[in-house]
Amino acid sequence: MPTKIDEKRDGLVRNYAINIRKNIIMIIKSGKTGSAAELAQLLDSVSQNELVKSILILACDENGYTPETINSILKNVSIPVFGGIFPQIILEKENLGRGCIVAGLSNKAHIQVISGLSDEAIDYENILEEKMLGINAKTMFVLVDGLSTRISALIDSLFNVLGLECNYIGGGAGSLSFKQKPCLFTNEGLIQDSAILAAVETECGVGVGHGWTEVAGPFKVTESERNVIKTLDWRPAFQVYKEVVENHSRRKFTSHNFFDIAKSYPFGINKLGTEKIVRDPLMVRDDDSLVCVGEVPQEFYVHILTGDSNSLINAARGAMELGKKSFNGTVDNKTILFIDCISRVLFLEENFACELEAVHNQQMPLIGALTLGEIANNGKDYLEFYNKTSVVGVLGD
Amino acid sequence: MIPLITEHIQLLFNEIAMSIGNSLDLRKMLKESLSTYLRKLNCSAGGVFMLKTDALGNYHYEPVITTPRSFPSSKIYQVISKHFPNHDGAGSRPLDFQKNLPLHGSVEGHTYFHILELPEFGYIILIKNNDDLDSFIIKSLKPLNIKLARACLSCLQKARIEEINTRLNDILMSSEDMVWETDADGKFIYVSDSSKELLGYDPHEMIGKQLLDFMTKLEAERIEKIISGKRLNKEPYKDMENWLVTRDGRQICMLTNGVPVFNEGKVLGYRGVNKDITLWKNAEKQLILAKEEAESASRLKSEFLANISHEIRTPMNAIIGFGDLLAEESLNEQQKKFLTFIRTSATNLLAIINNILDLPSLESGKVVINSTDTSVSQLLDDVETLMQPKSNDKGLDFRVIQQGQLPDSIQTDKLKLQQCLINLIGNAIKFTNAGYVYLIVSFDQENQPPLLRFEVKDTGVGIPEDKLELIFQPFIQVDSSTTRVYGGTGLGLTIAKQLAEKLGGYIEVKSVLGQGTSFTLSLPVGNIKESEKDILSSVRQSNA
Repeated sequence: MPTKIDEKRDGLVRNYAINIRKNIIMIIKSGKTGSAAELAQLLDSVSQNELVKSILILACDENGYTPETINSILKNVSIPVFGGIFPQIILEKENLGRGCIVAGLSNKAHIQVISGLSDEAIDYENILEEKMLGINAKTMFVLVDGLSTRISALIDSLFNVLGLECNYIGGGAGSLSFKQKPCLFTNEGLIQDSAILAAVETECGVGVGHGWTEVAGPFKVTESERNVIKTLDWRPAFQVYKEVVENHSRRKFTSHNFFDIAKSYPFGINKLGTEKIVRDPLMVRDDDSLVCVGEVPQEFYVHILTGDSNSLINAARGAMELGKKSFNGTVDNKTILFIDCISRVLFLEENFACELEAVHNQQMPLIGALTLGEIANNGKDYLEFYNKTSVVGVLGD
Repeated sequence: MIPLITEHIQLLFNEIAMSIGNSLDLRKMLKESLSTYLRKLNCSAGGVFMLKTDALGNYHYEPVITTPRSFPSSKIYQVISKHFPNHDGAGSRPLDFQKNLPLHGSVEGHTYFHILELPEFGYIILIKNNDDLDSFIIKSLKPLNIKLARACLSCLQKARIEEINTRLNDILMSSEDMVWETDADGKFIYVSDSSKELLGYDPHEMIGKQLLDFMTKLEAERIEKIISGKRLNKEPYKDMENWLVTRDGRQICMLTNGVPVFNEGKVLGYRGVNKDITLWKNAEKQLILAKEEAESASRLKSEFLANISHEIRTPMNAIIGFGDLLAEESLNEQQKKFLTFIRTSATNLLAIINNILDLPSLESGKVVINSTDTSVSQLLDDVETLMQPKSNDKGLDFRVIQQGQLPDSIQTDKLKLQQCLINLIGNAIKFTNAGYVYLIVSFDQENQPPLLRFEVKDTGVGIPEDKLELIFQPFIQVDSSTTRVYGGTGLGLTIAKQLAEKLGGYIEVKSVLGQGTSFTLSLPVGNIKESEKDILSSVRQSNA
């Protein structure tokens, strides 16, 4: 049985030391103030432990971290550090809008930064081949600036260069304000418009599910540019979308409520033998094109999806089961890394607690982030960048 | 029951189909297509492999694109590559291998592979790590695979065309000739960059104009007549010389070659090459002038020689004739002695003059060979009769020796052959002070053609080895002292050699200084009388 030690002093609300066979293998510390001092204290505390070889930071956007306040703290960390600033983070059964989690990994992470994640001119395959040469890992944490425009290109490049030799887990960092700013932690400081690849020898089981189902379609994507759908069936995308969604939801789009309605009606891209890949429409442009999180290739077909609390929560539960099932070995006492889309919080509202309940396990400490897009693979499926999806990683650390 | 392809699967197929052939760059095209195959069919890896055959007919499959890149070194690939024809031990030929596609199997129970044919191109491998592809999906993929194969072949074709274009362009760029193409009206639709160098006009300045536009009016009228005739008859322009005027007003001569461009029998235009031959033409003009001058000089020389031939021979004949008459008169011993000197000197001088007059005719090729049926024994008798007195004068042993069977008669110019032999024997007598001069005649039937050999062998002064090559050159003797001692013009051997060659033969020389010399005239004997062939044959047999 794990030993749990709760402490409440100096703003530190929970400290976990998971003792398995007398070996402490993961140290998780968290704080709720969201101050830079708190982060410094947590990093100092975790990095002091000689068993900790690298650090994962999950922090909230509301903390207001800036390079000016944070970079000197990060540069003081003597072991590899990586992480992201997300709209919210998850600690056990609670989603936090402020605060941070500092997790100490017992394996050294080989960290590479890919910058220019919106730069059309960059060939990520060549960069990856150069940077990841000779790095073998069981798990690859992939954290990206969720507001960069070439995330899908990076994911495709990862698949083309590294294949599925390791499991992938991660997601998009950033702010729900959709204003791009430094949101990724590195030993050099906070960075933006980049991706962090952290390769570790930690075992990992990964499960993915979303629970969204078809309402209408298929619609041919007759014109698109990366994450912008311009036309569907040769008509302006929003006109098609509007007809379906207004009819189904019995609500009318106004100039201010697009996302409020659209968060319940994502697009789904077809794939053989698995759930559709979800694309979350974020906003409508003046030309009636729709901006999504993640690429929607031209000539593909999309359906308009919707869901309900039950289907989404069941999908999260299913992801948890898949994660446990794909873990190589016993899952007891292993840490759950829950990467869940922030739009599920917005959609489920108060029922989101049920989603957390569905993936929570008393025997397994849970940390996570509510992200702008999710990245996951358990070595079986084509590597994808997901939206509105629950990703459960069972970490053997 | 045949499973129905659901709308869901049909959409996947449509999406894959739309990803095929969107680029004519093979790798770029396949990157999009393979990515869509793998994504839509939810595969964990895959690749496209191309059949390659070298000039010797050896074949192998080469990965064009794989996902991940390291796929060919993966464990799963090592297992499935055992099915490939170029793998050790597999041994089937590509066509047999492709007939057996699709191939399907699994590794470690949870990784499934499919090798699907891309007709005339190669194959595609799909790896599934979750669940296997249904067989009806595999069958339904066939049209897509055919489409992908055709797209690949189009890319290869384009690459080949680009390679050829690059090669042609490199050739055009490095050529000084002007390559051009015209439409049916003779207006340029393409002109290579060398027009700038040759004519001073950029290609774009020439497009839309005719070749005639770059000529003087007179030249244009001349050329138009030629090319309109060619066009009418759909004939190529062959070595058509024409003069063009350059931007700076110079006239340059072009050699134009061109072929009609046909489409369904109709001439769409011409394409060809213009070569600047101005330098050649100028050189040709100079050569013609030089030739005319040389011919004129030659004519003058011939006239001169003809004149002096007559002018010199007439008094010489008078001197010799009257000398002969005078010899019949009663003269005292001193007078007889003086007369002998006069007659000998006159005869020698006439021989020298004859040689000098004969040589130019031989060199200019004006000597005509009149082959007639010539009796070999008669020829030898005549030579012996002519040369015996000279030899006797020097107290030499002169003999004509026949070795083996000789043909009775041969087809040759008797007078020329006789002159050749007399020159050789005369030379031998001249340079032999004691001993012998033999003319040894033999017939080599084994050679093809058979050779009649005349060896003139003496015991004379001999020739140094380093001078052997010089002795046939006109006016050359072994050294100047030779001339002083033996006299002569140094033309005898030159004329003998020229005559031998005119007769189709050749002369070889061997010599040992101080011991003697041997000149051998070898004369091919082409026409032997039919009646003699039997005799010669029997001689050959008896010799054997």
